[in-house]
Amino acid sequence: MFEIVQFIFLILSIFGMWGIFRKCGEKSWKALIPFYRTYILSKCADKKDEGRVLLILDLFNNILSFSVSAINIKLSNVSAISYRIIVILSLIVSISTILYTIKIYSALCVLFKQNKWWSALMMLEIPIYFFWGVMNRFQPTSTIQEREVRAASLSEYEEKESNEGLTINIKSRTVSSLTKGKKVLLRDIHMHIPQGRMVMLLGGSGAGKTTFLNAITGFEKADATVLLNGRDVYKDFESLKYEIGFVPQQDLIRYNDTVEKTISDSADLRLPLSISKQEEKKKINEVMDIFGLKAVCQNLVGKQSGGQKKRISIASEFISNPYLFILDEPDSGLDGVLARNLMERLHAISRTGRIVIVITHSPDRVKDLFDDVIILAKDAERTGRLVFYGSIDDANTFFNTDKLEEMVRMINRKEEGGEGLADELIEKFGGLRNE
Amino acid sequence: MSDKRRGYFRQIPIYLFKFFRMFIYMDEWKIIPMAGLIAALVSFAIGKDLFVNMEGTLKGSLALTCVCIWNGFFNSIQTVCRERQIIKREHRAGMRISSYITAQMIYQAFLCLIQAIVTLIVCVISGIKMPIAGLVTPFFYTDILLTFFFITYSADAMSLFISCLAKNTTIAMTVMPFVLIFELLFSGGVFALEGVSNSLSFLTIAKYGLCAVCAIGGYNSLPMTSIWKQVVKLQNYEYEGLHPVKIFIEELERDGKVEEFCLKTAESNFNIAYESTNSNVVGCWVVLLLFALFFAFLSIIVLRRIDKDKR
Repeated sequence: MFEIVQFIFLILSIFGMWGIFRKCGEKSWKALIPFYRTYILSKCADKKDEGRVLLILDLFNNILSFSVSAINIKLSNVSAISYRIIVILSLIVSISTILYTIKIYSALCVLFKQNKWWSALMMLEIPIYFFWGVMNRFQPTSTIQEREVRAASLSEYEEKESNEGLTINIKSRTVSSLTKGKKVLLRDIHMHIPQGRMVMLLGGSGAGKTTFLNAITGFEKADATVLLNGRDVYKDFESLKYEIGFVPQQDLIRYNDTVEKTISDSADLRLPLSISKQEEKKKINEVMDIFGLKAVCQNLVGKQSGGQKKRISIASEFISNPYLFILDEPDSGLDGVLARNLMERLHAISRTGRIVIVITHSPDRVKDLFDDVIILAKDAERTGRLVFYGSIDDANTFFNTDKLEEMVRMINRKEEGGEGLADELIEKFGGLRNE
Repeated sequence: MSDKRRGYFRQIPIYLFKFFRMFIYMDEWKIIPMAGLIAALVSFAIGKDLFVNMEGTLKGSLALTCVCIWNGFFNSIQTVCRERQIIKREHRAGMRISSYITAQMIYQAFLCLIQAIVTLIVCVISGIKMPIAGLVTPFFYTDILLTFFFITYSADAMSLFISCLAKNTTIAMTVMPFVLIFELLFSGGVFALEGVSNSLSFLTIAKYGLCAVCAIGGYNSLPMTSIWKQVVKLQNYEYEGLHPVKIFIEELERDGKVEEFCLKTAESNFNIAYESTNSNVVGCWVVLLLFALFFAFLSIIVLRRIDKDKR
């Protein structure tokens, strides 16, 4: 009897899902595929990531249930330790399943413009699937197709290899995970930065600035070719990593050590053994002098101001005299005068023949110190793309404004307070390059 | 000009000196009086019967073992995870993870040794009656000091490994109590373990620590007083108008055989794991040291993946 009721319920829920899938623009017959239909339902609710997790949990839970029944048949002994472990695991998985189901159902309520209390009722599944699937009163606000937007097309441009400066040809940078699937973080970024240039890197949050920097330094490899003075950064990373200085956004230095020891330990790690102790000492003094740290060299790092900590962090990287010097928001937390002062120091460094790339969120106050600008943005598929690379003057012409912050506003998505012109401008820049 | 940078051995002193500097600047020395305070509390609670009778020795040894494990855990549970981003940055700049962990292990050995000495001094000051002769070394004090050190060091290495696994201090501090409970439950000192539970106990630091302390304290040669105390409680038991238990007690006391009775009852509770032999104690020390080395090795393996950390 119980099996018959169960079977009827299953038929009704498949029937309901059939209707929901149809209304959401998905192929209705997918409601017939066990497990997978739950994922499709989450896709309808625009909760693909959660759907993937739920699919895995569902499969795992079924394997556990099967194991329980198998052990029961074999041992007829509920006190067996394996049985107990499976029951505990099953309990944990069931709780997670319920939580993820609630997430998906809540999103479905939003999509169907229904009160979220429906999601509590949805745990009963059958009536909801049935009502929402069959009755015309229940209609989604958008279909899967309506939500899918086309991103800007790829350019055919590729930078020629050069034995001087930094040549970047990034096809894509992707990450994959079992629960979130494959995600493209960066795509189609090509440029050549000659030596001795001071370059600004701009983009809204999530545009892939840090990912781009990690890709060009070889810290996180992409499907790309990055040449530093003609040498492949990915293939020759072990020796080239000393040619690259990367100053992260946060001050990643130990606060409970002295300023001098922080820099000297950094020198010990980075400098070649061929440099004598005296030379090393001289270099440490020089760097402390450049960054104005001499007066506080015996003090603890933690006792220094935000600006000084930032300079210590930069000095730690600069000690090895890197050819490519990258700084992720070095002016964050600094007032205008200090930020300008720091950028002037970096400008002076670039004039010694090095490439300096700086991410900043206050570009206009220091733009006169920069030669070029790289602008990245998220396209419609939320992948980091190159919107512009060139001199500041060319950027003014391209964007038809002389305010760099305005350029960022133009490429930011509408929900972020921007104009949402990223895809259009990516296409425009790609077209210009191809010409 | 050669481009060769500092290798494994040359990088160790960079970090070792850094850790010692930070020990002073960071007020990390505070963990040493803390170790003394915990040892004092435990000595106060269990010190009277420790190394005097079987029951007191088992409970006291377990408590002291737990003190050492606690000290070891707290030394390093946050060490790596709190500076994970710094390690990631330095690793990218040429730091060798093996050098970093080796320097940590040397520095932690120093901390553990100081804590073991402080714990022993506090136990002596608290008036715990200790045997004089040692099993491995000529003196009991050096034997017990080494045992305290190996337990603390082993626990320290284990929590260093947890610290390498955890992405932040919150996760590390959440995991720690579970490991502590596991150590306590499966030490074999609280509950009688059989089957799978007994097999699991071989994976705990507490088991080997407890075995070593009990072996050094001569657990198997100590009297068992709990049965005698129970017998005394039953002295008014009446059977067919007589008090047979009282008669038995009086006779034993008259003949001065109480001590012999307690030793006889102890014989029935003989535990081979706590056997007072040189090889047993050295065996426990070796296992504890191997644990420490194993966890240090695992820490290197795990931390080498630090570059794969997501933001």
